[in-house]
Amino acid sequence: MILGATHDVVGTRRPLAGVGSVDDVRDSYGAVQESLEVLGDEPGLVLIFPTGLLDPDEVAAQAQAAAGDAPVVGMTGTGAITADGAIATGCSAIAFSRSLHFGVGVGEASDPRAAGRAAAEGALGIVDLNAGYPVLLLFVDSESGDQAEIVAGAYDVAGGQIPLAGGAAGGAVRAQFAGGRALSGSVVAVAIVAHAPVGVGTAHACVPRGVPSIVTRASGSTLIQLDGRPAEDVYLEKLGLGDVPLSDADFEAVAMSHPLAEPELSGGVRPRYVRARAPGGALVCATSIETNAAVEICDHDPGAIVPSARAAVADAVRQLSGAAAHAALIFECAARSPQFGNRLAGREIESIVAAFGDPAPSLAGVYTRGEIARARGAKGDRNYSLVAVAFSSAE
Amino acid sequence: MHSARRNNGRDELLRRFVEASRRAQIVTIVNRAASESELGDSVTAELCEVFEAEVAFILATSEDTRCDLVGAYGIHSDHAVQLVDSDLCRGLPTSAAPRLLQGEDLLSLGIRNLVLVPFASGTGGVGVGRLYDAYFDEAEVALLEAIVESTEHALQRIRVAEERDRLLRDADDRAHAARVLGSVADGVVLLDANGIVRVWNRAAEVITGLASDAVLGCAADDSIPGWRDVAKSVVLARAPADSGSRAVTVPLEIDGRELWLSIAGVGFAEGTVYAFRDLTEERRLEQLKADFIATVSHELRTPIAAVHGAAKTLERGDIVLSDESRGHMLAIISEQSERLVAIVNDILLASQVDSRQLALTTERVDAHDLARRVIESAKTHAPSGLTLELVAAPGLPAITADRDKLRQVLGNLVGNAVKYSPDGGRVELRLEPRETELCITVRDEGLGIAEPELGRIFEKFYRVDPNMTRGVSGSGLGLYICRELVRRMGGTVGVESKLGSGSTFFVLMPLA
Repeated sequence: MILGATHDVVGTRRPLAGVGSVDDVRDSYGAVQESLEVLGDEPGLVLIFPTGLLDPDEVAAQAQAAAGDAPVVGMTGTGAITADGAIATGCSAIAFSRSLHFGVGVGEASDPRAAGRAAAEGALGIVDLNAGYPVLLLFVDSESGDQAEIVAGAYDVAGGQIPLAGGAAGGAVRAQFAGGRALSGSVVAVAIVAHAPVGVGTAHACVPRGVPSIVTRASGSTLIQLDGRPAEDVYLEKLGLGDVPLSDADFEAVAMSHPLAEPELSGGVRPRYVRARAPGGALVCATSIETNAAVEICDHDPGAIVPSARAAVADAVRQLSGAAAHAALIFECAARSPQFGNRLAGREIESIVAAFGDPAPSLAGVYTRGEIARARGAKGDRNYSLVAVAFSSAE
Repeated sequence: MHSARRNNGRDELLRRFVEASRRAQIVTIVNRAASESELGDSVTAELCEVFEAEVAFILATSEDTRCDLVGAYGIHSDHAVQLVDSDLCRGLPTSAAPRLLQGEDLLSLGIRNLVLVPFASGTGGVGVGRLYDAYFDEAEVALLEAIVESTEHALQRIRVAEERDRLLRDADDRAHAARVLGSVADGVVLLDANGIVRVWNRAAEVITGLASDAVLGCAADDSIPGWRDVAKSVVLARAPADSGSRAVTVPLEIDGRELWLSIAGVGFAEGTVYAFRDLTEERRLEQLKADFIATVSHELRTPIAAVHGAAKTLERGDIVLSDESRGHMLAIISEQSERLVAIVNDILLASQVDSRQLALTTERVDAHDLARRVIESAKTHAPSGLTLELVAAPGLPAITADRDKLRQVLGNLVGNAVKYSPDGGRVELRLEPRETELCITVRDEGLGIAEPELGRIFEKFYRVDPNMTRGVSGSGLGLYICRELVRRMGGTVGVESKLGSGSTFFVLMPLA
């Protein structure tokens, strides 16, 4: 059990959020109840991040029972994140003060862009965007279509002035939560309008190797050719595995730590997860890549994980206009930290908490299968990234 | 951290490579776009991706030289309206070079920085905007200019293609409309504002007998006989469903042929369209019905009156009739009853013929023997002063016919010859073999038939002398029945006549 609280207004010491969690216990009720106890007030919204090993319907029922009338929203992850470390089986929860404004929308259309748009409209349509600093959280299903399209749909509604953050549900049993129910294949959007700036930061630990390749033939999210040759051949050759026979499982393990990346004009790269290989030497990616795009083959550098986590948090905190973060959400790609409880994961979370500064914010998070972060530019779908959302308070 | 490799000094070569690939990417997207909206949506989304921008839009002038939004990404619909109406977009077609704009004024569009690159043709341009404080550098503007050049070309290509498709669709629509007009049963005529015929469909040709070549491009008043009066009769509707307009039935005489048309018209800005259907046959049937009622009532009333009068006379107890008078009364009843039976039989037979329920039994028939019997029978009723004669060469070939029906036909023709020879004379029944048929003629020296009536005497209920000025009665069904029976036996029937010089009816029957 991890308890923590931050306070919104110094004068009244009203907490901005309270967090709670349970570990090794299939008890989302307990996590929510603890977050409420820490909050010490009626919550305006409760976010839950159970690990995907729990029964989603039971999770939803327990969490809603604990939260009372407050809306409970969230999604499953391959693990949960608390300020004290990662949880392989359990649930983290964060209860926000009712002094903030909240709106929840659900998109269930089969067209990902329409679903993103519907969810965003539902969430943003019921909050006063002029009341403060809005942010739109998106909880999506990694298997329900191109994540970039979902983000595009939400962006259609939110526009450039509302940052987007969130991710795709992970775990053996994936689910999103809203309205006291567990959902599948849906987009859940949560609009939060805070009284003080909100920052969204993101970073990754992928380092390009060699020279870029050109996508000479692609169809949606399937890369058929790189540099005029079967994409798989080029990919493996650049990794020095051209002559190594690989089973599909071996290939997926290699791909997990070697994403493709699209170089950006700014000098950065945007990692793209290679999900599998396809017959004919094609590579199946998590999102579509256009023909003639340049792609680089990356190493997911374990040595860069902790620095990148700090960079993402610093990026978020920088947007708080000098204020301290009093509540924080973390959406981290599961591929960045596959071994829960290992020293690297522990050090990463320690560095995240430290990067937020003192006092530490109420923090909850989840390991995802695709991340969403849009603070600048129009695009917000990410892979291999850590997304930090920092909420300051009106002190 | 993500840019760690390049933070130590940007690799210019790599940047140029990335720029080239990004440009190539967008060109791929641009060239794939099949419509303006697809181009607008896909290119603006990609521009946002490439330039890490919040907003991108494409504007292009329409026919009225006003800028319209071809596509936008990241712009709320309310902002899009503001954008199109803004000074910067109104001035876009006259711009010659990229413009960089910054400031809080742009916040209404959700951005703080904007680069606006006009099309070289001065017909629009592309804008890319950022909310955050990062100005567009020269390299970015240069890249955007290259992308805009491709986009402009693509837009022109799409517009040409869309115009071509529109023309093809229009042509297809016109062809489709023409096919529809060509296949509808109603005549359709379209007059332009000057009364010139612009459409004259196939049904109009068939109904009126006027070929489109003779009508199209000509004034309706000049090319369609009687059109001026027709047009005056039609109350034009202002819309196809205008309940204030009704079709009117008007006569139209073309080349001596009287047509009855039901016609309605709809007026519109460019002219008038009329639709008409041929009611001539319906009018004829109406006339037939009227003729039938008139004929039957007259033909039945006369013998009924005679029968009734004779019967009433016989019933009277206050007068004593001689045997001769009684016999005369009974003869009247008998004759008039037979006449009634004949009329009713004619009506029934005509009805059977019309409904095609008449069964014929064809066989080898000795026409000479049959004609002889007809003449002998006629002679028994022939008035004095009239001679009946059969002329036939010996050894005539047999014909194929229904014996009873052919006897009825010849009896009718001979009976008519007798009836229409009130002043006596000679009636000749002649049989002449031809190559494949036998020609049977019935010639008289009687009243004859006026030439205009020759074409109608075989019509049902048509009577040469409907007012019986010459005292010749009849149901008007005899020749109709003759024609129909002969037709059904595979023969033909015709007539030659001259008023006052007798008539010659001929029947051609196939040899057996």
